[in-house]
Amino acid sequence: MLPTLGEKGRDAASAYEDYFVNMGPQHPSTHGVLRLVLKLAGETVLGLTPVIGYVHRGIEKMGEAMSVVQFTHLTDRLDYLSAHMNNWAWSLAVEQALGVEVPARAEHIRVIMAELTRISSHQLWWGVLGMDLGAFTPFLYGFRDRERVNDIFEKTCGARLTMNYIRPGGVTQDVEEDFAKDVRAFCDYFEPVIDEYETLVGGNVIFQERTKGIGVLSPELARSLGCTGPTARASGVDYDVRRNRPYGIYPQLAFTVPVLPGGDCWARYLVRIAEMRESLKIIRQALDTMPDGPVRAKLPAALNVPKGRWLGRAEAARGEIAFFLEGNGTAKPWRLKVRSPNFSNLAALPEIAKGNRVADIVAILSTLDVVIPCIDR
Amino acid sequence: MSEQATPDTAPAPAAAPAAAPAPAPDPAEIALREEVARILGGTATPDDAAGVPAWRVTAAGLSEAARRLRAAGFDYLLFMTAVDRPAEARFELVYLLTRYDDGRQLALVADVPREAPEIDTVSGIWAGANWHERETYDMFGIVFRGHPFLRRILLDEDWPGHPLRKDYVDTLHDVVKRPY
Repeated sequence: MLPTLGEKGRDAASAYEDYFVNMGPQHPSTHGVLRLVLKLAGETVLGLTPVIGYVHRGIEKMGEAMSVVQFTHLTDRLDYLSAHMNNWAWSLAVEQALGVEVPARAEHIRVIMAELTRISSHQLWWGVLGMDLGAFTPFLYGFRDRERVNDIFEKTCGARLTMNYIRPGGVTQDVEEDFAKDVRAFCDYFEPVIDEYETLVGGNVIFQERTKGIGVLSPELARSLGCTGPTARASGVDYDVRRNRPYGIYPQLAFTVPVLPGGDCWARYLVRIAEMRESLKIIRQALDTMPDGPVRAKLPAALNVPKGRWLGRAEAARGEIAFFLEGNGTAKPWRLKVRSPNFSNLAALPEIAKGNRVADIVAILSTLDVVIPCIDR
Repeated sequence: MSEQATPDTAPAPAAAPAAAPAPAPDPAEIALREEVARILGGTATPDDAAGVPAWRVTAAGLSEAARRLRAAGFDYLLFMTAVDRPAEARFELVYLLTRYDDGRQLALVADVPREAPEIDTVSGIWAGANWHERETYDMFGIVFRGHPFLRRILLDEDWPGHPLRKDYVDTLHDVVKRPY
């Protein structure tokens, strides 16, 4: 039995010889340069402190030295798996500040790109989750399917990871002629593959035992910490920026937001799998209604950010990303703040890790799905 | 410390450049403004800066205003941060509050003097403020009274200075200042 930390938790803990273990900063399961200081009694985690900042690059300070359009490419470098959504959220802030209307075709391309990014991000998460829990096959399957999405990105904007495609006013350039054909082919290919994913990993008894009831995040704590995205939705917090504070053409699209009450690793797994299906639905609708026309609005000649505070909010693959832009009438932002979804989601880890075994930390961290460069900025 | 009259708000509407968007008469925003005015009463004054609807409170009155807004359903602290205003010798603390159910947003703004920046923590009201306040301490050197663990979060413990201050000079890396 696990020693529980009840009223006499302190005594129980002191009965063991407590010790501290550094997990990371170089550890395969931390998905980047994250260090966790674990306080252990045997195999049981008594407490955990995340130490972050190893890849802090001062992106907010850099942003104060460049124009708002130049900054777009740095947003890719935050959560590199949600590059299109980061570009989009930043563009939303800038477009509000400059009063720019985005053409309808660009809005459709943005939605398709963002949802493809969500799928590719979840594919990677699914593969890595399997690998973290000791199964190598999902990793290969996830990357096999992710290639197809990356090929679409590469054909459209020349990049596979840091896209810099969505930018203030629209998108960089129009899509290729057979873009719709490619995307539809991917959707038709990937829809049955999700079932395969569920059979391969979700149907596995070992996987279920490793995730069910592990790392339960209560809805109260999730709200108080500002958790968003699949992490919060798996804890019963019915919040999705695409629906609760719509942007782009999301109000015209029919989709459901998967919400589960469990709060454990298993619920987080199920929510992400369901999100991939919803993203396919959204992509198909956006392809059906995509109009012809320009893909980029004309920006004012002088890109001076007027005095005021602007906020661009979007749903990235891991939750709500927001860019706070404060202008003072010059071309450079006076202050620029990145609200990272991972930063708030990781704050839940110390609380939900308590009382679990060390091996469970890997499962919890993997289903929180944090991306470190987004936390450190 | 309750410096209510702020010099930068006076010339705002007249000096707005042509690029500024026309304020859209959004009924949802008007309803939000009325609702927040009711919640905060006379303790806050609306800030007329463009963009996110904002209210100014005194540094001493911030935690009370935060508590009232939290009780009135603003359960989601999107983030809190600071804006350096060296010309006016103050830091502006910005708390971005929203709600999980409708996503309405507002900014709560409080000034602290630049030479002794201190304010009460709100980490007891929103647990998420804990890390955001640590980051603001790290980057601006603002002290949050009553914070449970006010240490640097992104930089090293012994990092000299607070990088997001406008007068910060990077002495460690000897960065070449280029003219562009």
